[in-house]
Amino acid sequence: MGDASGPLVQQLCAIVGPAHVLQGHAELLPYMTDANRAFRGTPLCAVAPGSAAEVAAVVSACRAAGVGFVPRGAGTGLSGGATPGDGEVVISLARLRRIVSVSERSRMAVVEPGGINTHLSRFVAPLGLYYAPDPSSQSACTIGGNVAENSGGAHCLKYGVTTNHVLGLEVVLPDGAIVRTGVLGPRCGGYDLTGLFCGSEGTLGIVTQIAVRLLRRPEAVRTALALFRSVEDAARAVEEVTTSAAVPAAMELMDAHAISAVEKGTYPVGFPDWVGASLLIEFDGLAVGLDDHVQAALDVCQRCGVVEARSAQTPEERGRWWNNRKAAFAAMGRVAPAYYVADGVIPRTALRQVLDQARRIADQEGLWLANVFHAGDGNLHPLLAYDPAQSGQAEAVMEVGSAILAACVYAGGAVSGEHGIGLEKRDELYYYFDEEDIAAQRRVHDALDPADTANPHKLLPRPGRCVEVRRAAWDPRATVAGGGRS
Amino acid sequence: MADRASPPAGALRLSESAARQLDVCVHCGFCLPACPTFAVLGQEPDSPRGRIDLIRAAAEGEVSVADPDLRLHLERCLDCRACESACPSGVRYGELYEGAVASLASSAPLGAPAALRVGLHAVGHPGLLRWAARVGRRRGRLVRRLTGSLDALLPAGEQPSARERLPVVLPAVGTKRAEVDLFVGCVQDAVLGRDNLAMAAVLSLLGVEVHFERRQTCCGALHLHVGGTAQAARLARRNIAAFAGTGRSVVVHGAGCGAVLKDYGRFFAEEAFAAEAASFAKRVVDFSEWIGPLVARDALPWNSDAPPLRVTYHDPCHLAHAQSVREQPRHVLRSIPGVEYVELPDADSCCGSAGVYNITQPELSAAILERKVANILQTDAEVVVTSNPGCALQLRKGLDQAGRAVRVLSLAELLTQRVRSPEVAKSGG
Repeated sequence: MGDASGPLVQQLCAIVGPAHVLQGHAELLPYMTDANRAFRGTPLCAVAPGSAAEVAAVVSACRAAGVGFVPRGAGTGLSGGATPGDGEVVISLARLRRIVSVSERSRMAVVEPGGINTHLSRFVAPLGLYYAPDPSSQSACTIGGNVAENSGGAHCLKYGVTTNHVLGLEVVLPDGAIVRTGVLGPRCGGYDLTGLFCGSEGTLGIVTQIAVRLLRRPEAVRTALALFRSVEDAARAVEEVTTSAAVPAAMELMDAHAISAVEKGTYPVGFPDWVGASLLIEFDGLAVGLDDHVQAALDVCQRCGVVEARSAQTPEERGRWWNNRKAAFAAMGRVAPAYYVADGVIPRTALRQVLDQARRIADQEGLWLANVFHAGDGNLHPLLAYDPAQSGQAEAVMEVGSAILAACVYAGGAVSGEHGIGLEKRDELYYYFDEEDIAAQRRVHDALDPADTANPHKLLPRPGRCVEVRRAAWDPRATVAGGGRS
Repeated sequence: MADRASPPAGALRLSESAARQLDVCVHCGFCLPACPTFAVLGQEPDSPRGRIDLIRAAAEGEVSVADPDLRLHLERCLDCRACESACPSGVRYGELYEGAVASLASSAPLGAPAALRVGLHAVGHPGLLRWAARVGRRRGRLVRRLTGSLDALLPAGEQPSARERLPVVLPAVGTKRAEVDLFVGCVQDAVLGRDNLAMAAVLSLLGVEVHFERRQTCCGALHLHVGGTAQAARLARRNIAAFAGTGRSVVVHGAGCGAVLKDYGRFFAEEAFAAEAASFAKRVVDFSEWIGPLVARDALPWNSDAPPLRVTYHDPCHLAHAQSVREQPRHVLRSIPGVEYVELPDADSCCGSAGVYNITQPELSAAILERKVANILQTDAEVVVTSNPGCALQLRKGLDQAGRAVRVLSLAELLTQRVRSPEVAKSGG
């Protein structure tokens, strides 16, 4: 295939070695989308550098050629953040996966971006340590990807999201310079660049090393599963537990549709037929008093109409419940060939209202909607099933998703909790930012990436779409009833 | 989906059931870390999700079946099915992959060496295979010329074969509690026949009457690996006929054979024969599954003088991923007096043997084996147990090359070494 390639590809082959450059159409297929199959682009090639220096050389070559580049971890993202534009260069970080160092006494690890989230926790487990951020895809997603998206997870309710656990970074800037920030830098001071790069979705450069905080494994964990007849009862319990009881480490809600899918998948729990919603509640910390916290939370559930509740009796049982929960998105394959998930965040007091609205919006369009989400911190994940082979379905689903996000914003929330903005929610940022807000962000971007080669077209909204998007935001139902807003 | 029912001319042809698997995959990527070739190569066309993308594009005509890249990445697949264990949606990857490879093979042969194709004809004829294995051991050079690395894999020394030594009925020792049929396989019996004899001996010691049906033949697993669906189906018919009407459980020691035998129902899904095939498949049971419930500490005449032994266990892919048999062999090992069982890191990750993969993809196979050997050495075990002839030969080769004296034994063989009553245990030879 080498003959047909242009000078940039030849240059990239020279940098990383031809074995690490893929350019045939068939070989590039897997790189055309991330886990959100609604977006797709055909890259020029996919390269896998083996060191930070090679990343820098690749980035420089792209910039010199005026070609955009897209960093990619495991491609488990849901917002199109790792989806290339046509003709761009995919930079796969799969070969940069070493755990560079672990310091037990300072409870810190330095890792490369392509390492898998759970592999780090598994590696430091003999020291009694772990890495806390736990996106549901943690068995496959990379820590570099987590930094790019500022990923959350079930336990962020208590422990915070990725940025709360990143202590320093090594970053290749879009001009090829390599900078080190936070604890990886010479000293502290100046702007908090670590914070800036967390969640920047590869639009400001490529992270090549990450210093992360490790936590000591909690002395004890208690996990309870509460089953309700309706989503409304379960949502009320979430509201009451988080306001009146001790804050759990995690609190996860699944509705009947989500349960029906995951029960057909690889990790069924065996929920009874009548269940309208399940709530997985976990407390961790010192063993003393932990049972009281669980009991207090279950007492609250009792007042909210729980039908059945039990604590996990063994670590295996707890493991089964969590596998079931964490596989929920991926198990959608039992229901439909693809799904779209919105990632809205709302105040917990609005849970019942927004869940009801989301259901009505989906019903109106005849779409199958499932809810499985981090209820404790109000991070909704309405999943809409669709078939990409049916033309127009992906677009219709995205439009309904956008209307649901509008409902979230209307209730005082935001359009993204943890999946990133990517290609998916760029314009939805206008639901609450105005042109000046976006202009300030764009100035930050342009300072670091004036040539706009670092993951172009992601994260920031397209200019000039503010007014029409905002009109939709304040009347969510009109968006759908009017048959689309474009 | 309508276009999948009538694929464009020149597109990959998949059965309805295999094509349905394309819809079950939602592209989540959970399979990537489970895939041994992705771990070694770090590129997505060599991951399960990536291969599914390739197969989908070929089925829809976006990629030509003649595209060498399509073939390259599909040929690199071990078909180990570790991705099936990792898949939350339950994509039956093996079915999809084998369907795709069969369709590719029908348009142009896959890149297996010619000697291998000749060899595959031999495995349908156990006598011929046994002869080849024996000649191979005596005249290493000839075999080396024929099949490359196969020679390095063959165990030294004469191997007893169950086909030659087993009586049609081996009576139970003591009170008879059950009767079973034995499936001995072809490669399994020719190169590691003593495992079959050991299996028969252990069953007999457990009070089981063991029947050996001589009309049985190769299960077809190796043919499936390289797209030989039609050959495999012919062998399946012969086996189903051989065991028809006995009503007994068919106990298998080789994981690769067991996985295929249990899958016979699918071979004939679109034919009247399907029900018969499925009812045969239901009778097939792995040796560890069958004896698991019986092997308590007092079930066998354990030899209390046997020295303490540190043992680890490698999951054959076709046992763990294809048959979901994981706990039973471990349970048996933990039940043996004097055996200290240690878990192997990444125990269920492929060893790189994968049917004929170590012959078709020697470099990748070696890279995968290297990781496996490093893990085994980390356990400090004296014995690694595994219950598939391919895995056993591959691990032995890896450990020999690393110059380490770790022994590789099958579950049945280890059991015979831990019981009194040597004359029964070694009845074969």
